[in-house]
Amino acid sequence: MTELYDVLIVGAGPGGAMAAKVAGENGLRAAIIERKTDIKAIHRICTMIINIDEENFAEYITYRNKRFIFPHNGFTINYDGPMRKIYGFHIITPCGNRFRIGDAIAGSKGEKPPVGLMIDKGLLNKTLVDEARANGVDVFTNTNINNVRKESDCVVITDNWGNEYRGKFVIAADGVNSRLARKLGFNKERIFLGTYKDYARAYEGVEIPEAEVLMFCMGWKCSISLAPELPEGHFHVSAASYDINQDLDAEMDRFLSSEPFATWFRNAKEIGHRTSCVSNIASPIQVPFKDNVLLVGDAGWMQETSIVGAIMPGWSAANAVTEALITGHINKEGVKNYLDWWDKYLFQPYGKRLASSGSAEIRDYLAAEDIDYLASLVPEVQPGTMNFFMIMSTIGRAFSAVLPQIQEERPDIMQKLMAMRSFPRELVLAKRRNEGCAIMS
Amino acid sequence: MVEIDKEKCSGCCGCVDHCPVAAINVIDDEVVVDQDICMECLICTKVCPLGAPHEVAQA
Ligand SMILES: Cc1cc2nc3c(=O)[nH]c(=O)nc-3n(C[C@H](O)[C@H](O)[C@H](O)COP(=O)(O)OP(=O)(O)OC[C@H]3O[C@@H](n4cnc5c(N)ncnc54)[C@H](O)[C@@H]3O)c2cc1C
Ligand code: SF4
Ligand code: SF4
Repeated sequence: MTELYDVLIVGAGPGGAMAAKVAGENGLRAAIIERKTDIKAIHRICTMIINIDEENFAEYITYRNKRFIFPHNGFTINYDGPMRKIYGFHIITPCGNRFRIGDAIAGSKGEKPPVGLMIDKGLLNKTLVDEARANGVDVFTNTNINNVRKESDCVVITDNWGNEYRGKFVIAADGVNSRLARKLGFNKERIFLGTYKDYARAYEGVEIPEAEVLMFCMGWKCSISLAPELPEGHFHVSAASYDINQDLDAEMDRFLSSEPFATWFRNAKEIGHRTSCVSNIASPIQVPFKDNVLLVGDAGWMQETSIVGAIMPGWSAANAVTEALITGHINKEGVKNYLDWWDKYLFQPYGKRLASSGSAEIRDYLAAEDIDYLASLVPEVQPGTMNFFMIMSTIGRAFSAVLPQIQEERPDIMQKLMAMRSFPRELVLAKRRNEGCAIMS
Repeated sequence: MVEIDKEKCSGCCGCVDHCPVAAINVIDDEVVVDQDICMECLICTKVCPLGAPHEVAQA
């Protein structure tokens, strides 16, 4: 019979790596299992920005003395690696107009503080795992977990080599498309919101004005984003769609050869390896627990719970497992503190909203020049934020204020906006199902 | 049979997650199809953002 661990953690992303670190500090007999061999390498696309000095899941994260500090939850994590300051989020229209959330010009002159720090997520994950290992946590890499089952006194997970691992608890931090969530039947109750396919190319020698922001380019057949990378002059361009048959390459090429973007890339050279992702987006799970398996981070969310949105539940789940072991309640009651934490800070304030998301695509309604016109109506820079929910409400507020002007000047655009808003959600979701690939159970 | 073009593959593991029968694994940081398990449903060829999985004639 193989060893019975207190807790097995699947996945060495930010969520699992944090859970492993906490399990080690708390003196648990723990193991972390990861399918990659090189934990530091990030192949799945991620812009790697951490929002700082603003509210984020009721936390107010700050960075000082080589540590990210989570004052509300009361913990810190070490990070001593490269960083780049980010001042916000800009929407860029087809002709190059900007709707600015955050002032990159004032920011780069030091007149405005950053709202985000771009980091090396692989290094962050590896630092956490190294700390866990130093506290006696077993680290198994090159190991894919393919199955999970509950036995009377433990949870058994199996890898692709046929090995079994036994734990009193399992923390599933295996990310979006979580196989553990799927195997445990969580997906039966979730709403399928689409298959999101995204890929990015990295370039050097790019010249973009006001570049220390995340740039979302509208008016293309797919969602095109631009973001700086850690080295100076390096950027990545990504193309994403909910239609798995969309030709992302062709649309990215069209974007890169259209002005003003072509000028930004005229001396650019593609470098490094491409990154990508394909995710089945399903509504967040309300109670991330079943058969002594706790879900953390993207495994229980949709995707993009974010780096800190995975770290915080990883921390909370490992602490709850510790309490359960101390009190001897090896069950749902034992880890109640984690389930309450998830409900209070993630599910109630944000999860519910995301579960009812799914609106018609702007590109199906507005022409390129309509988008140019709309952005020109709000030339003022909005207060900087990297908080997804704040970005959404800033956009909503700014454009609600100009609705009378749109009605007056461009009733045709107003009509399109109204048609978009009243498009039934069931039809949006049906389209997403049609164009996606719902492998969920 | 279905194989993954190493040159094109980013290693994002999207196909690993979507394969209905867990026929795709990451071994030594390389994404590979286990031909004994693969049922040639071609889902991986559809979901891959980089067009890396493809059908090849049986050897
Ligand atoms: C386009 C894009 C941009 C993003 N940009 C940002 C950003 O700027 N800032 C930010 O904070 N967040 C960003 N995110 C979100 C962020 O990447 C995730 O929310 C975060 O990484 C989730 O962490 P996690 O630990 O839950 O999962 P992951 O980071 O996905 O980690 C899961 C780990 O589990 C491993 N694994 C999976 N399945 C198995 C298995 N069966 N067996 C063994 N190991 C397994 C994986 O290899 C991986 O290492 C972005 C996401 C996308 C898609
Ligand atoms: S989805 Fe494509 S790029 Fe990603 S691991 Fe699979 S073959 Fe490679
Ligand atoms: S063809 Fe189907 S069964 Fe074979 S590896 Fe691809 S997704 Fe899996």
